[in-house]
Amino acid sequence: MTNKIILFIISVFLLQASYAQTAEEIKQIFPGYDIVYQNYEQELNLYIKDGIPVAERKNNIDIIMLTDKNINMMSRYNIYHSGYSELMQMDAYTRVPVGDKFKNIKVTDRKTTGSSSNNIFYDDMKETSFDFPGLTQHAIAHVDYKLFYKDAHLLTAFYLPNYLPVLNASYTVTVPNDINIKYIVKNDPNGLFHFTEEKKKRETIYRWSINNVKPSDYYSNAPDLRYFQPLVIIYISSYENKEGIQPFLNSVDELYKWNYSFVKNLNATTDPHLKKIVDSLINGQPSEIVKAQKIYQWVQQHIKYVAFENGLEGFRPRQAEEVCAKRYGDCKDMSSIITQMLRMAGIKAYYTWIGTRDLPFKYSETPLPIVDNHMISAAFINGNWIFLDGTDPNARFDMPPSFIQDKEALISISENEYKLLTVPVAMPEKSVLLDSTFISLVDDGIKGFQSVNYNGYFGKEIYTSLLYRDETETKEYVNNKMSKGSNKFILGKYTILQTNPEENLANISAYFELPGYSKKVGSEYFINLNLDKFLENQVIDIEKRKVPRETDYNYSIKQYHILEIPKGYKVTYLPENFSFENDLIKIDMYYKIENEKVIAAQEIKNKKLLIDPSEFADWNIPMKAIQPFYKESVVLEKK
Amino acid sequence: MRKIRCTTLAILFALTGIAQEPDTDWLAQPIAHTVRPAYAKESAVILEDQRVHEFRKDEKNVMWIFITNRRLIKLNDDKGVEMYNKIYIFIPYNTEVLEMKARTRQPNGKVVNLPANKIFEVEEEGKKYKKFALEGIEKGSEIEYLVRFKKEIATFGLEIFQSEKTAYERTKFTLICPDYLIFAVKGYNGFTVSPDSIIDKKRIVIATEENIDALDEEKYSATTPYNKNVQYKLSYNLDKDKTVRLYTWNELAKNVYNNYNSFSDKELKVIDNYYKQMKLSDDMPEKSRIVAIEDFLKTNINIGENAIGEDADKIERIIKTKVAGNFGFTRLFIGILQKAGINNQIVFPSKRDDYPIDEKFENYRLIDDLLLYFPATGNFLDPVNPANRYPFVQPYYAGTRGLFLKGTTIGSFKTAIASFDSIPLRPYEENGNNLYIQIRFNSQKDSLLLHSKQSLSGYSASSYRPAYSFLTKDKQDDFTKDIIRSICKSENIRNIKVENSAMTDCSKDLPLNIIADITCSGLIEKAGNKILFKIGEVIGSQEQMYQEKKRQLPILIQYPHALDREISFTIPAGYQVKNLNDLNLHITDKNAEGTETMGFISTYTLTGSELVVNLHEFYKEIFYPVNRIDDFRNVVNAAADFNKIVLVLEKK
Repeated sequence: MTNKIILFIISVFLLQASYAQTAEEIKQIFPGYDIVYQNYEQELNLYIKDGIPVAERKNNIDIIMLTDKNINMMSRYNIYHSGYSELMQMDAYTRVPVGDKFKNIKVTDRKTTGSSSNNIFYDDMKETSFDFPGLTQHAIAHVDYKLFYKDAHLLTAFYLPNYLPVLNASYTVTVPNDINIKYIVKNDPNGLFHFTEEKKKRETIYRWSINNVKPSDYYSNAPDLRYFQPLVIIYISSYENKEGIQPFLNSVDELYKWNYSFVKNLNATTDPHLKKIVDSLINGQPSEIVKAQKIYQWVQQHIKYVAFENGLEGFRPRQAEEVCAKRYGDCKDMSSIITQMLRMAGIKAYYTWIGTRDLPFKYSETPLPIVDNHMISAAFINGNWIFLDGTDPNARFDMPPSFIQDKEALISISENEYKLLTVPVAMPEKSVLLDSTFISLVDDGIKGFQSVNYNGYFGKEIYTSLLYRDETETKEYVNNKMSKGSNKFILGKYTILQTNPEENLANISAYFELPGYSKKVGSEYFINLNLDKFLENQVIDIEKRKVPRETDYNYSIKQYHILEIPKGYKVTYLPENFSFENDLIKIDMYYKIENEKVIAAQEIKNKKLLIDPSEFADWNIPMKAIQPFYKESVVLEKK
Repeated sequence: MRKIRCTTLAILFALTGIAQEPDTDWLAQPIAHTVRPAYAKESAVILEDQRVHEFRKDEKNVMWIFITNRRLIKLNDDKGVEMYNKIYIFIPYNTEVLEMKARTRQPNGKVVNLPANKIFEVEEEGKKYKKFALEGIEKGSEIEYLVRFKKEIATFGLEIFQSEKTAYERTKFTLICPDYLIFAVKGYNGFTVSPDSIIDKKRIVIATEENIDALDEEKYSATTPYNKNVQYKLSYNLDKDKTVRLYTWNELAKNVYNNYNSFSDKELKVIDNYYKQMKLSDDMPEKSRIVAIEDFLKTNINIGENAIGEDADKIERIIKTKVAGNFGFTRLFIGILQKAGINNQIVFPSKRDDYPIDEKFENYRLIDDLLLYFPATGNFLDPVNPANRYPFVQPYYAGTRGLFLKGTTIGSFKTAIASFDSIPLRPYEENGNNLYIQIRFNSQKDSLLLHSKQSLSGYSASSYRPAYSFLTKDKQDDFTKDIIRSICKSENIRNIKVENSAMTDCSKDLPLNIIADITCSGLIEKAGNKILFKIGEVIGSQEQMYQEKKRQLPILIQYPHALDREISFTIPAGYQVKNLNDLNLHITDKNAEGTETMGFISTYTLTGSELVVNLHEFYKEIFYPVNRIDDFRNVVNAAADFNKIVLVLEKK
């Protein structure tokens, strides 16, 4: 027997031994799970090609079926790629246990199709799909593939896969000596990533590994996964080619230079047709503010949002003239036409990049293209910066869409000058819902009239919702909006007043009946005047939830239920009042009797957009305390 | 629709000249249209929808269908613009796009043509589309697009001219073929077909309909069966034989039977081996063997309509890879049943929520998903649906008629003949959604202690059981708790027991039981020194139906079912309930024969401090005509009324 054969036998033996141990071990580590990522490895190799840095990313994935359940879910596998991350090579097979050995069944059929993401009308994303054959209990689905990044600006971060637990994950980055990188690890407060740096003669190998990670649960009101899932970002700060050392993405300066290349030739000429439109809009308007407002509103009303992300088009805004003729555009096109039209009106306006709130990144921390996914226009008028987002047909001129609040905006002043400003967060007082509901008792329940004023983001929601609804859908919408008490709510005559579209002020008023609400027994009436329980079931399970809680915007709710005391009756029981305030929320619930009426007030102020798990205890104090107060009824008795 | 495995599609066509392109009213210079007053408030109106299907030969003497579709749409408001500024055009399999153009006519008369390079081709979920965003659209614009296809011939058609969202003003379907072919063309739900005319050796059939309202989805309804449509099928080839009707149900039966029931020797060997793995004994009753075979196949093989690869339907490959397409899986199933000596028939159901199969109009286009029928037990099986188990099939596939392929032998040749028969639904009492619950106060009288048993059987269990086979253990626990929380929202749930959760338990007539102890404060409220007990909430939130506008569609219920509940409540010592009479509800409805077909009945008994409330809610029938909507609503709403009942407890 030759050594080779002995070695082979030993290795087969070891393989089996380790398999048996591993499957059992994995079950112990992730009890209750049927499928686990045994290995999730990425190897990133950076190198210089034709004088610029490029990258190859190899993915190595093994998925083990611990039981024979849910195999269906795993059999289809998709690899996403695009013109910027080209799929170079792929190999996939299933290691099927046969007796106490394994047999590999190769994947022979695959299919590549376009892969359009939500909300994007056309892009060049592709997906290559295949089915893992022969999956059974203890089978291992293996896939490895290589992506080529021809532009190293567009490297993505290293994320762990969702949905399934991960036994071993690693990210290995090989950097030749002519390239310098920077890196940052995010969302890893307990230091779960194990990091090593190995300096070799020609290259340095950085390696992050992490073990035994359970997938995070899904929660309502949760921000994007990237806010809390551990991830590693590496980026090239500089590289060396024949011409010497070249800064790459060392600071915002370089990122800006790269971004600027996409707008350098934008709107170089003045289109007479567009100029005519601008002139007609600003004609006779004295102030820059009003001019800018008119222009912004014209774009909101006339240019429809349709997203195209095809190769370079994904970064390069189209000419304002073209956008105007087509009457539609994506965010970049909106930025282009708004900026150009404002400039035609003599207003200082600039193309501006920004990330929406689902991206947690900051230019100042990671000066990379992954920070932004959106473009707007920034105007400088009377010493103030105004952020104009053309993709939202109902955004108020002075109140940008809630999804870019608190985000850094990268404003292009000129070829060499930019500004980094943060879009302000609107205070709770800016978005108020004021509800006055008048109630009277009838034989089988209550009837009433409610009048609700909306402004700020509340108002914007109303305008947006009504824009795309016909008569029937509007009625349905009003019904949902006004419905309270129980599902016996019957909407009567209603009126919608779009009081001031520019300010997003609106009012909806409606008559209603609510059979079965309130209880008459003998000579007494019982009625719970908390027809809306805004803060019911809002207690967070601190033990379980490790994911922040997000609100779209800060708001104030002021709700008054005003009950007419029927003739011959008196109030024999009025519930207690409740007040609370901390950094997150302010609550006031109180009752009073005035002019033969019982007034039940509920006033709530939400003061913070993102609540971190460390703040959950503070959040839970009022949410627990308020519950008994929601269960109190007013009692009226015959005099 | 899935391709029918039919080998006789090729019909010999005689030679004719190549026809001219049919006229479609696409004007060189588009004109403005005024929307009919009835549709003036609609966001968008399809002013014209013209479709021409022409069967003719190309230069190489090969017969194709040349399809021309043209649509003209008026966009009245922002919503209309949003609905139609992006157009997706489905490109059928084996189809060449000959021409595609689109344009916008702005209210001021300016025409903006769509540049050809702005039409993109995409593939989504295995289907090919062309898509484009129309340019220059404003409120009040009219958009128009035209597509010409050259498609591999199919001798059956279904053209739908009704939608949920948009009304049609004028529609026209034209079928053109050589004069020696006779197509049967039939309009449904009011579509008018005029008699054939022959012009220049071409037979022309025109079907039209005007002012087709949008048909909105309503609660407890399906719109599809009521959509206006026109269907066609080839019936005669006069050049071959004037007396032979083509594409009959019997011909379909013969072909389909053959495709599913004949196996090569190699396949038989593979099936034989696979059957042995199931370890079934011949003395098991037929029902048990069917259940075991179904469970083995559905547990071990992943069924996917779009399984990737040409081999996904090959039996040897399926057994090796454990991945199968629907066709391959069904063949394997039938092969195993043959091996086990279990007599079965293929049945194509006329689905209740889809275009019905017309027994007198053999449109193979509507032949799609199939069921297996077992004459010995009289029951059905849904071969490719992992969530439904014998004898339960998807509810819309039953309570209807179906095309049965009855096997027969002509000499030594096995084949099948077609006949229509009914596919019964399981009776209402088999589909139970029952609740048994005991409730008492804790000593502080600030919480309730509940012991509950939710018992689900038949269809009522079928949407729950898969969770216990497919979810991970902790997700299963969350799922169970969510079901329990329909009784009352509580975090304090203990002693949870789930019984009969295996997929096969449904075949054994065992109910899925979920048993738990719950502590809950949510069902009680305070009013001074009185306690309000929201007893109605324990039955979970109930649908409330409103009479908003005139009902358009008949009432369709998925399956007949019953909900029996028994709520026992111990009134705490020293207290009395003042309004027990509120618990009495009796709403039932009788059919013409005087039988109660649906109802909600609630009664109570009080023995000392033990209050027992019995609820019987039932829906025996699955279909009610439009004029019964009030009766139906009364029963449904009675449950919602009960859900609001509050008992007032006061000190004696």
